[in-house]
Amino acid sequence: MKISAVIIDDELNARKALLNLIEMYCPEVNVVGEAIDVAGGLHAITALNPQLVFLDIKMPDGTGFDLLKRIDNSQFKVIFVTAYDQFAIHAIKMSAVDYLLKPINPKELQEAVRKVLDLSKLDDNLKMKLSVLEENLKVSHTQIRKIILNTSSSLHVVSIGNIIRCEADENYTRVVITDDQAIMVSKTLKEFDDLLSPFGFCRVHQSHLVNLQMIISYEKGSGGMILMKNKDKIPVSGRRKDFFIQALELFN
Amino acid sequence: MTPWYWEWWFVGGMLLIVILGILFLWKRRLHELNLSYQNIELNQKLLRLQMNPHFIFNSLTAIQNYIYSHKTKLAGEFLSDFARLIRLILDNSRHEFIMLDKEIETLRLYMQLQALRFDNSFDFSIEVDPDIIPEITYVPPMLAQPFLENAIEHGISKSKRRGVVKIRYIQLEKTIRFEIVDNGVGLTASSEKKNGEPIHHESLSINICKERLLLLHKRNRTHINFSIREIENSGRIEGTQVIFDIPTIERNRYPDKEHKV
Repeated sequence: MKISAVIIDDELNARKALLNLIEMYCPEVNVVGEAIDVAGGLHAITALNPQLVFLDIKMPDGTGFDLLKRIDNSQFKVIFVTAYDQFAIHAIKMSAVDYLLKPINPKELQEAVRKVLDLSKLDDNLKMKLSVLEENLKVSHTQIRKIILNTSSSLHVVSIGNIIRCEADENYTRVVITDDQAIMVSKTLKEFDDLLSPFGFCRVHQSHLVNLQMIISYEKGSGGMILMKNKDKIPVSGRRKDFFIQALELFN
Repeated sequence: MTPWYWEWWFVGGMLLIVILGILFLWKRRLHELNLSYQNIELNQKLLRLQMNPHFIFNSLTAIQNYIYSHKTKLAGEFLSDFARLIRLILDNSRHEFIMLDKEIETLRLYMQLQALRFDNSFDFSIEVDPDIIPEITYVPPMLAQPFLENAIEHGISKSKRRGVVKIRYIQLEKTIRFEIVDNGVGLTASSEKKNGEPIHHESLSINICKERLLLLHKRNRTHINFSIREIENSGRIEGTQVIFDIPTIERNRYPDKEHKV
């Protein structure tokens, strides 16, 4: 059974390119309709009831987010497609929603489609992700409050302020949260560093990212040792020491 | 009897003149440094504005489409036009003034690529007054580009009418009038909302433009008049008009104006 999909994008070339890419690289996807703006997109989704929507962010009569707000989005999966929008991409990453950058890389397209299909059993996921995304988009970049952590078996919506620290574990990251819970996520620490550094997180060590708000004390030494609120002791690497002290001063 | 040039008033006076002279030179040097620093900063802002990521990545997507659709000729042409435009923009951004023929080539390429990108949803024309000789006339590069971009990406794409953008260079008595007229939805309607706050695409362009004109005035004593307004017809907004009045500067008069920054 093929998956039905709709492409919503205001630029003809972008729709055609994606259509071509899908034909060549994702034979399991069947594009049943196209739309060029929010209004047309709403119409196409209601009329065609697709399983997957490729959604542009910037359109003449609104954004892809506006479209999702105006429709029951629990019935289909979404992959955002955008040429460039740093603000939106950061919010999307925080919500673990799938997105592609134009011009689309065929491998990334296949990967995104595969991920969407794998998740098809967990039906409420998208709804949850989108509600977090919507919440995060309402506020300015640095006021985002929630992040979605995707593990192999479940999704966690976590308030950023409740994260104590992150620790690298090969290609995974262990995220330690206030109630002594630790969540293992298949993202690198570097990715968490990029996502969380705007919110007062500091990379103090090759394997450690700490929330500056969760620090109780700092013992100076060659690099030094940080005592976290949950009594965890985190080493600071010698090379990161100055950077860490600066960040701490800036933050307080 | 001390000679007059050893009198305290003379020695003191000379000393004072020397000190004032040094102070003056120092001040002027600082001022120049400051201006060139501002210029570099502004150039960077301008380049960022001209190298709009949306334009770049959507153009590349268009090329991707032509390749996958086996429109090899079109893909090749678009690609080389795109490369030529990027080269011109990078090149122009290093100069405060360039020759008008180069400016027109840049504008034409830019408009052609945008027209292809938007599936020929608008027409454009570039008219040059026969009294103007583009090969010897200097203008500041890409003054209009942000306004053209607004006209195409916001003004026209939101309008129901078929888009028309008219670019004209008219020779007035002592100035060249550079005019851009579009038939889009106008300034107010083309602004969009983000986080509840309306974002005026126009305002960023206008601010950078004004800053640039001010700096041109400070550094080169070139005063360019700038105005932007909505075209109204019996209460209905029928487009936007942008005007620059640029003093006529021809090659024989300012032989070394095209200096690098």
